[in-house]
Amino acid sequence: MEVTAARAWVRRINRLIISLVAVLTLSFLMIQLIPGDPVRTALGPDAPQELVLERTHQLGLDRNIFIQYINYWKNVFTGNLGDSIIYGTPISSMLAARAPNTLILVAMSMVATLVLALLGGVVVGIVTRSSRLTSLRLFFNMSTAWVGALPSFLLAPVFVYFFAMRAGWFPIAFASGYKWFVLPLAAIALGTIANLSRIVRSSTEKVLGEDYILVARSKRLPRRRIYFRHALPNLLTAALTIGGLQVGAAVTGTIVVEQVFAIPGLGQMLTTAIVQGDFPAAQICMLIFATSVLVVNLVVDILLVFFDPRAGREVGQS
Amino acid sequence: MKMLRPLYTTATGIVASVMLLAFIVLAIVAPMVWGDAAVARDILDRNAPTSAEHWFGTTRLGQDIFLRTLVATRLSLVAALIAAAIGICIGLPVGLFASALGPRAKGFFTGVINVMIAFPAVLLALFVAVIVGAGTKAAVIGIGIAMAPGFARLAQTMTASVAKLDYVAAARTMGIGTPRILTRHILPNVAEPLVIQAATSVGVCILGVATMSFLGVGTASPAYDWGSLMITAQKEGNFYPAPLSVIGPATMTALAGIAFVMLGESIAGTIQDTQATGKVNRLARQLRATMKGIPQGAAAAELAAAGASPAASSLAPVLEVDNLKVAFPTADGVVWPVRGISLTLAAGERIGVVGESGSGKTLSMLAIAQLIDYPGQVSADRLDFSGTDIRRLSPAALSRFLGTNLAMVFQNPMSSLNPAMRIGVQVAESSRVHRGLSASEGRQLAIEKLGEVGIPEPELRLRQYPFEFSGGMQQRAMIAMGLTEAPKLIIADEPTTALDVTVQRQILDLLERINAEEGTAIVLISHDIAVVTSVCARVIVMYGGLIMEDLPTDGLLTEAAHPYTLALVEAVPDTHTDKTSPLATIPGRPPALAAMPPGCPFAPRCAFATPECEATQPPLAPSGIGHRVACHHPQTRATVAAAAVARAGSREEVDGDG
Amino acid sequence: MGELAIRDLSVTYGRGGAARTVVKHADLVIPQGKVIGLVGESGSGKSTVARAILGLVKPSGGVVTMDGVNLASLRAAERARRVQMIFQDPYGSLNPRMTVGQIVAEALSHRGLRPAERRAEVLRLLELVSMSSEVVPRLPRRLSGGQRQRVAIARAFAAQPDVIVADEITSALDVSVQAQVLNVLREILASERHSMLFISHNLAVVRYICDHVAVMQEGVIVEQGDVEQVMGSPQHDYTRALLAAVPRLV
Repeated sequence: MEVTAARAWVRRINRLIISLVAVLTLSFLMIQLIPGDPVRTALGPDAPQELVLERTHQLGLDRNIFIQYINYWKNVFTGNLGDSIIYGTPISSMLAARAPNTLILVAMSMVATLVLALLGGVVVGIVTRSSRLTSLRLFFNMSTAWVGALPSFLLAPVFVYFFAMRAGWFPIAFASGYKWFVLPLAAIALGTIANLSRIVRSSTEKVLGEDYILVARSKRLPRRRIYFRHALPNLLTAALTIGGLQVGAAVTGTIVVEQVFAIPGLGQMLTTAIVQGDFPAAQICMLIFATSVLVVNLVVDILLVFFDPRAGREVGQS
Repeated sequence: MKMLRPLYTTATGIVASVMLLAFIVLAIVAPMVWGDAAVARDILDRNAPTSAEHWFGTTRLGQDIFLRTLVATRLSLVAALIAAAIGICIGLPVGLFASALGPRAKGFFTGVINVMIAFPAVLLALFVAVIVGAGTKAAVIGIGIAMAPGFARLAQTMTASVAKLDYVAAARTMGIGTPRILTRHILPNVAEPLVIQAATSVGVCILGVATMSFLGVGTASPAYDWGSLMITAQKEGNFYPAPLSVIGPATMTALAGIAFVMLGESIAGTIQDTQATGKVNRLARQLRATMKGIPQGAAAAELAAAGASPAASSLAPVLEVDNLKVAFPTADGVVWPVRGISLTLAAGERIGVVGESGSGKTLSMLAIAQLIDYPGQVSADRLDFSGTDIRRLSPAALSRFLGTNLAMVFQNPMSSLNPAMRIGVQVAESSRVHRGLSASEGRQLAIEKLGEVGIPEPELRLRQYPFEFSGGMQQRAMIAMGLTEAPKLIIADEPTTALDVTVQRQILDLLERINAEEGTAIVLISHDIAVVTSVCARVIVMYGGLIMEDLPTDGLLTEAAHPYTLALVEAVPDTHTDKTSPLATIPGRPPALAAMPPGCPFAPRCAFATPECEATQPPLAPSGIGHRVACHHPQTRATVAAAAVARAGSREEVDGDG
Repeated sequence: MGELAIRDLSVTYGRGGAARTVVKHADLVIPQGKVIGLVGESGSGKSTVARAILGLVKPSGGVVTMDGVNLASLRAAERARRVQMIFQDPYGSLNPRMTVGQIVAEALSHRGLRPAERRAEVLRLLELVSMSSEVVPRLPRRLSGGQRQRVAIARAFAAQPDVIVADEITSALDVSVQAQVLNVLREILASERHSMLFISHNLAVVRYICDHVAVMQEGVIVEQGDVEQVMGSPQHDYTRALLAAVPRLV
């Protein structure tokens, strides 16, 4: 059995590797697909032709496309990411300053989402099971639907207005220390927590209606054991699957929130790079975001194998 | 269109339609009315704070941001609609195409779609923006492409699920051509989810396009949409004097997005009707107050004082039930699936409970086991288990008492076993909880019991999960789970309905063996009278929430007196049934729970019913030794057969030998 | 009108290492006007035989012929006049968005009837399954399980096929309703003189309806013959085991 579970992990890691290759290739092709001369577009019509040629050469864009592709791979793996087309500074040093802010925001909001949504969804699911407290269920469903539909670009300025400008509890923008972190995190995670907890609640209710819960009740097991030993592992499958998809919302939220709070992060670097045509920088930012989405999904997949004995075998069979 | 009915009949639907209508009117009217005023500059009133004149303040050029927000409705909505349309136009054909692929290509395609769905729409849109350059076009195309995987998957799963349906197979066997199958059988049945997804995705597109503009890679000056208004206000420092300069357009975006999402959800009917559920709760409270029954735990103090935990007496009957009722509040009022049943079960006895779906057989047994869940309510004049009134026990004492004396086996073994727990853990669980066995003692017990029910190599099998067991083995494991505490009674609810005949025989034999060896009483519930009589010494026939007849199995063919029992016996062909004559049938169908007739529930389908039967329910009265029957006009097989012949004769001319 | 013959039929699902052969070299003949029972337990391959006859799955070997004509070589409309099917689940086999009248009429579409004739034929077929004209405008969800199954029977007979395949048509029904459906089927078989392949796991029901019976185990037909003979003196161990397992009333 352990062998089949291990095989399932290997398959998942294989899938990750294939996806990473695809992402790397797409991010490479992205530049090739830009119509016209990207370097000329970036530097503007007034830039001297010598400068354009020099940058093009620096970037290796004047070489055969296959050699460019191989060099791209080499560069990504050696960390030699080249220079910004606009600033001429090394991209790696730009990343070093910005990536931590972004990755911490994404990671923290994922953790907060999974923990709080599971907690809230399961508790509300238990107290509203089999049409108990239907008014609470309705209120919960409605409020999480509304909160979940509120975009970060609305939540963030509202938080700034109330908690930074009026109350003065938090800084209005990126600052040193840890306090700046609170409002952006809340603006990213509130929506994902609401959405996931609504799903966790309904799958809790569904699991509590399953036959094996009736059997557990017929065995007169203590409530706590029924909820935590019998129900929880079964609803984790659904919760984690949907929870993994929330990483998309978390990444979007982070990019938006960086804009609102002027946080020097990857999102800001990416959008600025797009507007300025600084495609080597855009390319790397894309790559990092895409990789983090894939990695989070792999982690979720591995957790699923851990919690759901069937997940491991099904893959092995198909 | 029936599909759109919720839009004007449900609260959510009405709110969504009103909001949508408002946005549509605004999108048409605002640019015509305020188009000029929104671009008019007022050099003297630049970056103005919120005021009565400028609700959202003014821009760096002195333009009124409130008016600009209204005017931006058109561009924001149109961009989102185009994006959604792009998503549909790419996604649907791709999904339909993929559903025609071979299994391997389909698997690859599904994998790609799944990865793409995991990627945030904005990231995909930014990817497009890198290529085509920042601007409204990039935002619309990017978000549109990002919507496509969702639609592709929807199209693929829907066609796959509908194509699997029997009515499509039926149409194909009738030689119906593919175009007609598509238009007549598939499309009408998939239109609804498509419309819902389309509506929802417009909402998502509104937010997506706004996000792109807000990030500065979408719409830019001189054009403006809600997203670009927000970022411009923030960049130009309008937020501090006039926070609404950012929050205003953001709110408009969110409201428009929510309106479309609500539209989809109201069509899908995912939001439940408040009033109906509120009524159920009210009725449940009333029922609890009015249904007589001793409140649980009333005598717990007495028991605790006496220092005695209730012990099962071996002399008392296992079960003594009098006037047991089960009520369920529904949105249409209270229904009574069980309307007053009484029975006594001696120690070691085997009884079968027979009835068709809706007869109340399962619910009455769940009520006896105290497993009716809210909002259902149970009452009884007497509910004694092994001489103990279980309604008087405290919750803790009840758990221990029933947990060790009563075992339940249910219809579907696959869903009755917890899929995420090893078999051994589930089998030993009761004993570990109620008797405090250690893990290794539990393991030993599980091995022993799994062996007893005929599972080979129990020491290996107990480490497996339920999905690694066949249906018959799962049901054996369920029975082993019930046997760990040497119960006084096993209630088996349709334990073999999901199994094959040969496996059914094995499970029934196992139950008989347990009864013979351990003296465990058995209640076997089934819709199949033959299953029941092959195991049980006594048969209880239920109909419409009542016991119709209670008689020894031996007397079923000779002494059965209730027309329903007699009809059941005749309706089931066995291996000796006369092939030349039709089977006995019962005309009509069982009464609906909400419309139970006042008299005998079987009267409307009974050939012998009189006005008396329709007016009053006959009591379940003794009729010979160990025989009770609830009928005003008891019959025999002979009288029923004669009546059937007479009925057939009156309906159409039958040649003499009938 | 004629004889349906299954010759050396094999059906394999999946491919490569995951391939499972669920029907193995089955031979079966359904003579004109006879009702043949096919019994077996879940996974025995009996439903796959039905689907292969109807062309809903592709055999990996062997042929299904009608009077010597390979059914696989026929166009869909032509095949429909030869074989029809009644499905197990009466809730899944009727299109939820078509009325009873439309469902039955659709099966008549290949018979080239004028509208008035078509309406009359729909009523006649419904009468045949003991249903009144009231049900014509109803949607399936307003019918009980037994009524739905009778509509499905009327639909199968509407195409006037040579052979009808009935796959576990009473297993989803309550016993009193099962009797109604079996009676209707018996009467209609007697009056229309159709051939039928009647698939069921219930030996008693098969004995009541069929002339001949074939017993299937793990994809192989292990025994076939006259129904009374097979049930009276079974030759194969599996047939004996099946018979011994049937619960008997008293």
